[in-house]
Amino acid sequence: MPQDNIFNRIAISQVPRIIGFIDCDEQSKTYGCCDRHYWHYKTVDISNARYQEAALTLACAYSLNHLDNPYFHHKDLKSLVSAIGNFWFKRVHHDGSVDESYPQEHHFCATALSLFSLTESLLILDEKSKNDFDRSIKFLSKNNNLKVSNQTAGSAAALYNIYLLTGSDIARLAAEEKIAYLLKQQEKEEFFTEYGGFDLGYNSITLSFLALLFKKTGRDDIKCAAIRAIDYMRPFLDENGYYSPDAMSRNTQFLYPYGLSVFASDVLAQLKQGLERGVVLNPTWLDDRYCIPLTNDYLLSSLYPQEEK
Amino acid sequence: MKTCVLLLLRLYGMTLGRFSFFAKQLKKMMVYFLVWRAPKKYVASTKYFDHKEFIKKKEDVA
Repeated sequence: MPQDNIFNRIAISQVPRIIGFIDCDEQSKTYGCCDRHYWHYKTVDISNARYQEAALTLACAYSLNHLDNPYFHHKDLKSLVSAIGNFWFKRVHHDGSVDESYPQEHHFCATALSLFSLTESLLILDEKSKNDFDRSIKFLSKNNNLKVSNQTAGSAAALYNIYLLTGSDIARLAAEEKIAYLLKQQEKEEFFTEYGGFDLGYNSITLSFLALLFKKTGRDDIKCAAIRAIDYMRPFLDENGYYSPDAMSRNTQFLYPYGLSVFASDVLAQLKQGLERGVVLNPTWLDDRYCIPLTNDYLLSSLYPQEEK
Repeated sequence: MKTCVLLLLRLYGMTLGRFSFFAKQLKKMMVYFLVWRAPKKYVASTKYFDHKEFIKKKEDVA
């Protein structure tokens, strides 16, 4: 049973908020939609696919065997995960992509990250999907956003998950190609570039995806690359896991913990201290759109607690 | 965003934007203007509460 810690306390506190984002009415045409602006307020004309990452929140909440987790093995969560996935597949374009901000966007990042969350939730719940991933495999393998490492890492993680679910060698090879690109690019810079520069927040997202890939593949080259990136990050962090956003290429303020829990427990301890003191950005400070992925990362850190080094 | 810009974006999306070539061109243009050419890069996941800066400003005033 995972120990009580600040990550699972914060993450579990966000679960009811995130469930509130979801259309839970089985009779509704938008059953499973997680974008309240679309299904409830009706102020936008498209549903932001990134909100469907709530599937992973529910899958983790369902699986986290912790004293203070009332969602552990709650039957409604499994059916909601299924509804969220079905809604995602209803919105997918003919080319396998989804939209984030406007119709016909065919957004690479939204497709990669939302598909990663859906497939990861299926793996955690040990379920198969009745939906067809072929179009999305094609979209993710044909498209790239090479200047943005966290998106490349996310798409690699999504493709590898699809391989684990379906046995698709096309998905596996595409994942390996993206991982190879990331590792090769990092040989020159020591960090994972974000629009040509270093951004600690987005590096931590890349590290989380690499941690999941490392856990699934056991590849030492992924581990070495991650450790090299963390060594580059360390000097920027203070004792509370805080860093100045002005120094970053994308001015982020967040720190995703899962990759740190796998590769750098000392940095994770700094973040824990900052959270306990209430001085660093965490899911409770974020808007609806971005609290979901950070909560997911906190839940993954709780579901797979750090190993003793 | 101004209303006329939003309307143009929607019209483009409903017409030419249905074809992947034009959708990609729009994306490239948006990245160019919002990221590379912008005086400050647009990043959605930024500008949240910063505790350190908040305390620093409180101390400056005091």
